[in-house]
Amino acid sequence: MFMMICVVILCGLSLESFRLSVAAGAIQADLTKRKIIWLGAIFAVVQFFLFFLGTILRLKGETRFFLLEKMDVAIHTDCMIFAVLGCVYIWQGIREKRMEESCVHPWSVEGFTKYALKHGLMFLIVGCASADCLNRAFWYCAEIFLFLLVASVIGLAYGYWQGIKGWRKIRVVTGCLWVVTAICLLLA
Amino acid sequence: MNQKTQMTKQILAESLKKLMLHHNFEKITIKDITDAAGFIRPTFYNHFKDKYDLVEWIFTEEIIRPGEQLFDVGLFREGIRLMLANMEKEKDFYVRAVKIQGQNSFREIVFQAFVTLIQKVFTKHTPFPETVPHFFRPEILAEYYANAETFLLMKWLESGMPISAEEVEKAHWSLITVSFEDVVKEVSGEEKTNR
Repeated sequence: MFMMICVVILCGLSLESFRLSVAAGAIQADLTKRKIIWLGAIFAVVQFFLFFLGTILRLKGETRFFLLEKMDVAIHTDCMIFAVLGCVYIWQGIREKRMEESCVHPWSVEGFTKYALKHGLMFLIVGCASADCLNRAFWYCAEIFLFLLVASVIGLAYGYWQGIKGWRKIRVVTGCLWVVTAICLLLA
Repeated sequence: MNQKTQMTKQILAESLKKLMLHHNFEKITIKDITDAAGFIRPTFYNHFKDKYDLVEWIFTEEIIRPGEQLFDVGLFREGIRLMLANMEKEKDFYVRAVKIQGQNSFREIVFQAFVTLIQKVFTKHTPFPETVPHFFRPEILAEYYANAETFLLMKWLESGMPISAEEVEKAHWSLITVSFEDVVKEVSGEEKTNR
């Protein structure tokens, strides 16, 4: 079950990273291969930083509020967070309006970082909620970063060449994955 | 402007027009436009910011620009007539384009194009002194007339162009040349005759 939760979280994070980078790529003019990799790396670093920050905050909070002694409370809280996040994503995916493709001036590193930060709240929340089930494994963190990097680079390239397609569907699927995570946590 | 650039823009414009015959404007993507035109998607951004920008370009090139050339030599009525006739030729496109709503609505595109055109006419043909009253400043007058032109045009388009461009031009000319008092007299006179 632990392995399954890890895989589902990994898929959810990658999908969200892909979705955001597709939107970013679709409004860029003159993206070269080098720039796509460079911007994808920034995207992945920011998202991973937020995820990691969420994990750190959670672990600090657990120590401070003695939540470690009440593991079932912590797990139920995580469950709730994932379930709410999932429902919000599914709701937004269904209700969201079609995103307009409008070219912006080529983004600077600063601009791109701001974009990644602005849309990175989910990574912080997931980092916070998955701190316990991740078992603080280093290899898993490295894997997450790698997946985020690949998803961002592919997303940017896809958005640049194909435009925004399936934006809402991806959001709904991500939402479903968070609901699945919540159920898995509950069962575990 | 570079001939190749102009040609590419024209092809993209034709592609959008064709797509609009069968699809809702909101659902048309940039990829759809470039695919139908036989280009790769990034080509679009070399020429236009978004699809609204393309609609604006079509309106400026097809309607405003030919009229402007006649306006430049003082043939205002002929300019308006040509603009309306050109719109009538592309009826299928404009009747659909008028449905574009929101921040980049077709109404806004038409209004801005008319403001620019009329302001150009004022500054070219009329030397405005510094002491001109506020409401007779070129920018205020341009907005005033652009609102009137846009209103008339939108009414015509929204109703699906039921009357010919010639009739619209006649009505337009009467409305901008006849005073309000005369219009009231004419309407009330007609009413009396009807009774």
